Amino acid sequence: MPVIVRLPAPLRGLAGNRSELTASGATVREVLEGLARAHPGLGPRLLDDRGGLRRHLGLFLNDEHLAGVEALEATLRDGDELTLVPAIAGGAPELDEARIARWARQLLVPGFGATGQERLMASRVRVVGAGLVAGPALIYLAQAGVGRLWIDDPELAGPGDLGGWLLGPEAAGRPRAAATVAALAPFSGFVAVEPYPVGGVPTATLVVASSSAQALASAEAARRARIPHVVLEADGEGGAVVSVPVGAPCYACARSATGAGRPPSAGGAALSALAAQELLLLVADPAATSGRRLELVRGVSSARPTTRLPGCACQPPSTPGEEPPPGATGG
Amino acid sequence: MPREAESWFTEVAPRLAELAERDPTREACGLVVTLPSGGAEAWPLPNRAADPGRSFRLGPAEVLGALRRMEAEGRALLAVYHSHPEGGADLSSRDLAEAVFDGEPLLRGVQQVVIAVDRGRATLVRAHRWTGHRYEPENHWSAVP
Repeated sequence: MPVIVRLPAPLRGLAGNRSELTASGATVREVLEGLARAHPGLGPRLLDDRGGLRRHLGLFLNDEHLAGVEALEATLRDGDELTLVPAIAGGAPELDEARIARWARQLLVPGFGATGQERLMASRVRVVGAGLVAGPALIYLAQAGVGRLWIDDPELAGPGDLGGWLLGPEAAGRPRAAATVAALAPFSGFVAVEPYPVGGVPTATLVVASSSAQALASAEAARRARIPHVVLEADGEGGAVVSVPVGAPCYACARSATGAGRPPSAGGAALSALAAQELLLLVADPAATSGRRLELVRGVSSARPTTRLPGCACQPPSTPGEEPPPGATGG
Repeated sequence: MPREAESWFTEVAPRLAELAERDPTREACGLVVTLPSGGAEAWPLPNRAADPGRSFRLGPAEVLGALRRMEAEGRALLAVYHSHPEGGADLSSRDLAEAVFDGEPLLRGVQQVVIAVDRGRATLVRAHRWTGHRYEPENHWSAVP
């Protein structure tokens, strides 16, 4: 069954610079197999080792696109025209060898894997508050491979911020955000660290605020913007971490009823790391995370699901058509 | 680097940046072809990928249509372009897996152009040329002088 095979310009070099070939076969497969024998340069681009159509190739039979497993078995008639078209595709950066080597351990964690790591790489995490307690969390976030880390803190670094995990004496008197960006540089070969605001919308927010009022305000802003967030409540060497996925009970529902805790001390680093871990889980596997509050008391952590306070603005409308409560929708 | 390569890239790169910014949440994609009068122009094509925020795929029928139009108008294919929302202007491992077959470029003599988009703005456009063994950066255009 003689048919005409048309080649696009980019493939002609593999077939003697000809734009049109004549081939025979009762099916598309037979024609391609014949072409492969007649033009060894073209052959490997048509069929794979198992006889399947290469994904790099598109086929048209008389201007009809042939797709699927049956494409190769399409029958041909005299004078049919078969046109080969290169398949052109690609994608955003994924895990390359350097990144796989960098994050090999967490890639092995069941439920995290390459998909979770790619979500982290594509994420933009805003951290509200870059004081002493935030230091360990910032290091964990940078090392875990979040794509962008936005530092939101307008204050200057004071004596109380220094000597922790991140900021050293050289940061004294400098803006905390700028000092944090500089201090994170050695940890962030694959991560962009910038002072906030940067003109973009974060994927997730970590709140390590210096006051209860700021924590509440930052968490509420994130909730209204439908940005998942984690809030850290320091209390001496321990405290709590509240995880708020989109739609979960808000921070105001789950925060400590006793108000502000004791000033953070050195042991607060564990709480900070716990907060970073919660945020990483929110970003890497959002479908598997629910609102919860983790308490860290004398080195022992416990978790419980958060519950909504009656009448809280974070309550979603339960009846179709019902007016949402004030403040329930974000902007 | 051939002078004409520099010339078409300089001419087209700002237009590619503009196309990538039209919907910065999706990968923009298309072809760069010669103009009959000299120079080059971008032919944007729809992104048919299932996840257009992280991938691009040109529709086979649209590629065929573009190739036929090129033939009819005596034009040549200079480059394939696509953008990386919130990504860099380098070819990714996925880009290379699709553009290189068995150690050879799928499209001989055709450059690969990537546009980096950062927070909605195209910041860098980079062309990559096949050098015999791999694609290497050939030329770039930056939104920041």
